Parts: sequence; C-alpha cells; structure tokens
Amino acid sequence: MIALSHDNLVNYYKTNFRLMQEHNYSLSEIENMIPWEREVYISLLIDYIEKETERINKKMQG
Amino acid sequence: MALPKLNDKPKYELVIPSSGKKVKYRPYLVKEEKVLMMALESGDKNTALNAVVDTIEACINDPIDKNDLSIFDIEYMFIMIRSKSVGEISEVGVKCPKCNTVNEVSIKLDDVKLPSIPKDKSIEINDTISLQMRYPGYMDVASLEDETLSGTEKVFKLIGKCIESVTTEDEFILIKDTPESELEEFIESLSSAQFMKIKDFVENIPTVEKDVTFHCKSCSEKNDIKLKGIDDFF
Repeated sequence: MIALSHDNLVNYYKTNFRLMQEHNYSLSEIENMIPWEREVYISLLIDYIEKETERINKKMQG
Repeated sequence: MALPKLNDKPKYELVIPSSGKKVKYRPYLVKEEKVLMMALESGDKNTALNAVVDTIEACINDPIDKNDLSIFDIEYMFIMIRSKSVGEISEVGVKCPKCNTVNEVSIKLDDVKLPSIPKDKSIEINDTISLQMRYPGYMDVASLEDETLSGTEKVFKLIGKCIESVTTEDEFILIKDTPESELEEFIESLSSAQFMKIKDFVENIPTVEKDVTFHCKSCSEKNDIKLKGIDDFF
C-alpha cells in the first residue's frame, strides 16, 4: 500500500518548507492545490532557478 | 466568516462497480494526500485502508455509504481519483517472467478495467440447501486485520463474511441474524467438495485489472501480462 503514494512525508515537508521559505507560498495555498498542480509549480520553479543560475553565471563570467 | 468557495475544483464521473451507480468526484488535495501518506507510512494496513476510504468519501460529491462499498469498489474508485489527482500515467515495475528483470511499464490509469461482477451469486450446496453469497465490504476486510488470526482462520472468517443467507427447503436464514458460533459450525460441517465451491467464490472476488504488453529490456522477450489488484498499479 505504501506505493499508492507518489511522494513520501520527509520529501513532502522539505519541499513545502522550501516553497514557503524561499518562494513566498503560504501553507494553505500549497495544501489546497491538487498534487499534480504542486508538481507543475515545483518543476516550473526548478526551470526558473536553473535559468537564473545560468544567467548569473554568464553575467559573472562576462 | 468567509463564504464557501464553489466550483473551484474540477469534477469527474465514475461508476461504482458493485452498484452501477454513477457518482461525481473531485481530485484529492495536497492536504488530503498528506493524511494518506501519514497513514500509509504508519505501516498499519487498517490505518492505510481507513485513510483510503476516508479520502474516497471526501472526494465523492454524491452521498455514499462507505459500509456498502466492496473491496473492489474501493480499489477502482481510488485508482480513478488518484489518476485525476497525481497523474493519469503510473510507472510500475513489472518482472519479466522469463529472466525476472524488473521493467518499468507505463500504465494509463484511466484505462483500468472495471471488474466484471457476476450477477448470480448463489451456490448450490446440495439438492435442498443453497447459499446466497456477497462480496466482502471494506469493513469486513478491516475487521480481519484487527484480529490476530492465522492465515487459515482468516480464510474461514472471510468465508463466513461472504455468506449472506442460507436457503433450505422450508427456511430462509439471514447470516447477520445467526450467532457466529453457529455459522462456524455450519462451515465446519461442509464436505470438502461443498467447501471448495465457497472457497472458489472467495478466491475469485472481482478485482481491478489491465492487460499490459512489454518487451523485456534484458532478454527482449515479448510479455503479455495481466495486472490484477491495486498493488499492481503503483
């Protein structure tokens, strides 16, 4: 039955904490999303962070 | 006090396999998934089953009585709700029967088949006695988990829970009105052939299923496998 869940509690709390701490989401906003919606926001954020890191790196090199 | 929020979640439809009743449902939310994870990670089967049933009850818009749901209703309804909540594709590890390598196979959960439910659930014990059977509800399965019984004792208990009534030449006896000791005595008095008929019913309780075809990544064998039961789908 454990496999019915696509995530685990440790990962759940860690991700929520980072979303609240670093990206200004509120806990109630996160908890009222549909799980796939939360996944979409997380992957969009990862994309954004990667692009920003690349942009900053390029700026520092140039 | 804030006004309630209406129509803020999508609604879908499913058919409850045992009753054929069409009901509307919504996906579960992150906070409900958290409760599921807590229950599933507790390692207690009953806690997990109760959490799954509570989630189904919360997500179904129409009134349903969870005590009327069979175990295959729970499996099917949870798969449907989960597919709209987490994603319609589930990656499962399926063992190649030839070389035992675990292969990742993508399954579209929406394509999971409804279990086919036989209409006639009666069993002829002899010329004068017949049994009307029923599929076990989730409460029946949960009550078996509570007891510290051996495997055989659990099968006997489950068989008892699957008998709805006994019809003799001049009597119709409802099992729910019969003392448990009398039912146990009745089951123990069955001949081997009679017992096998009932055992066959219990072993063939409908379950969710789906046919999958994949080529093994290790030995390239083409496999056609039938996934059965909720554990096979995640």
